[in-house]
Amino acid sequence: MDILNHIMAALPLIFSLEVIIAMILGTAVGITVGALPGLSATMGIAVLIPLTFTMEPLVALGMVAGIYNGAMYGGSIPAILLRIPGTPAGIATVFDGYPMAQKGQAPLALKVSLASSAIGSAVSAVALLLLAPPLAAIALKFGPADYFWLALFGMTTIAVLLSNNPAKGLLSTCLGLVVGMVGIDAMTGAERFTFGSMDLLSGINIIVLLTGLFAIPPAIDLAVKRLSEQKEAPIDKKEDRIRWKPFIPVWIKSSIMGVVIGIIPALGGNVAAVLAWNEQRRSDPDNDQYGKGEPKGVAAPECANNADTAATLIPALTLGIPGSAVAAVILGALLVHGLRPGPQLFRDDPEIVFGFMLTMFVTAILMFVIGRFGARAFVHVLKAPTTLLAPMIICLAVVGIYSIHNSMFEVWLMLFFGLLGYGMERLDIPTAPAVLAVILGPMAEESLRRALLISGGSFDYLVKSWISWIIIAMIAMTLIVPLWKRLRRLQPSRGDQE
Amino acid sequence: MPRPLIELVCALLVGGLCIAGFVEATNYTGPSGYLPKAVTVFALLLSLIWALQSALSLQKRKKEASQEPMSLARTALFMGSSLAYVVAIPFIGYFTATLVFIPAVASTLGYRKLRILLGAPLVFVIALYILFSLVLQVQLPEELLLQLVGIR
Repeated sequence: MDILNHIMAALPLIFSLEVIIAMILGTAVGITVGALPGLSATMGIAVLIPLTFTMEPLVALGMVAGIYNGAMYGGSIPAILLRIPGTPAGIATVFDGYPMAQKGQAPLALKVSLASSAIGSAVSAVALLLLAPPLAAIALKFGPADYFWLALFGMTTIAVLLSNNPAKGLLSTCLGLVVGMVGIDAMTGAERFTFGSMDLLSGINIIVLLTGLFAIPPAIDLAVKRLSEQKEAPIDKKEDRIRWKPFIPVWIKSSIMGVVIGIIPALGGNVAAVLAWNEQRRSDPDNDQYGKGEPKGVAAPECANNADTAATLIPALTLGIPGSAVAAVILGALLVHGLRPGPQLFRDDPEIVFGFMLTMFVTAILMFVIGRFGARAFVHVLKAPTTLLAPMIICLAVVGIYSIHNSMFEVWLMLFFGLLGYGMERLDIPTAPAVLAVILGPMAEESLRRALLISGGSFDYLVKSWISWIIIAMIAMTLIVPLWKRLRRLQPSRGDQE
Repeated sequence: MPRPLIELVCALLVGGLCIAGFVEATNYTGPSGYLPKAVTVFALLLSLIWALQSALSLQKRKKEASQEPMSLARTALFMGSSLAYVVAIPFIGYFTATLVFIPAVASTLGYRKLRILLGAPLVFVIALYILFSLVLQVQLPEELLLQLVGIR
């Protein structure tokens, strides 16, 4: 009942002219960004956050929701026409999307992809609206010790699961922890890692780090790889008629998979898409048609990767624990607008948080409308020369960062993080754990100190509540399961040798 | 250079930075020093593990294809021109630097359609000028181009 009241209170806010324009713009930009191979929703949101500084929080968040949903669908356009997934989540769409395009069924594949994406996004937004408030209510019962373990759980999961080499993932987390410590310690007033620089006293702005790590490396890739020179599949102008009824079970199954995978930290849209495609192929009696241009092979991954979008935000909004890079960037956007993610957000700013969740739903519908009428324009985006786009991204990132504090120092810092991020990507070190650690590091440190203050310096307090024990068990599982899997993989090969 | 060797050098470099970070962290007293010290020591251990892994794979695989020289040159060119662009902004202004940077980089990277090469950056700069200078009223560094035209 409470949820319904909050939704009713937020509804008039999201249908104001500014929010509607922001959602339309965001969705169009999102589809465009997603359609450009090499650019992702994370990058699009990171670059555009500085533009939203002067906007009302809900207007800014409406734009963010549009970019996020739009980019997830946009990724399927080059996957179908060029055999290049525009975003990592579009990888499974290639399997059947490109063969369909080669058979002259590109418009049909794009139509299936659009409808499936819109349905996946809408289901995900409903899941967010229904699951986030009760979870936030539970999270209000958490004490400082529980929050300390929760922050540790968030950092460990991402570091271990996002990298093939846990040492590299954890090193990335350490980088984020150090960046998060730069500046004056809020509790003691001591300067940390400032090296006498006045510019570093107030710490490193998270947007500087986000833009550097997520906008500069794709720009370098665009400049280096010349992705747009790929051959486009032919587009047959006549559209095939399609019966939607057989797609309904595919959408139901794939949406559920997408939502569940979205809630689990570190998995993301690409995992959801591949698993949904696999499951669809396994369960279909005509499974030999998959990989050769089966429309349901496009519907399943597109529905699943879009169903992942809002679901990823469930732990991020309710606990303040982002489970993916894009969720971390969205948390950055919330922080920029003075909104602190976590259960308090639902208590202190219910109109904003429910409004944001509703914009995720509305942009799912907008995506269908914009995608349907703007299909031809978005296909043309693929022809944009990457050698021109790459320097434009740099220019946009530079002016965006400069406009935060009119500081050239921050622009240099952003470029430094950009080069560092590019180097990390070359060395297979994931960048997302660093960003998560910048958000979660201060939360962990503050919670630990508060816990020690309450207990008079006794560490026993950290393991007194049952919530803490559950989270500790989850951390242990995160660390042990990959190790156990690796050992199991080694065992048969040893047997083979014998 | 083989990939494991690059990784080994990077791991040792990171290890060195961790030691420097730990030395710096020893200056922080009380609760302010706990996390910096713990993080730098943990990162040092991780960098040593990484170095060991790289050294082992260096022994296993002696020959491995390195990055194409052409792609390295393009990366260096793009990074170098981006740094030069940021250096130029305080002297000639953001929009003037942008108007030079985009076509210069695109043409160096091999883009040849002259009309788009000159037209697209102009439209882009006008859009940015409207958005940042007129709508958001961001105070950007003095513009050489606008001074020459006599607007500022």
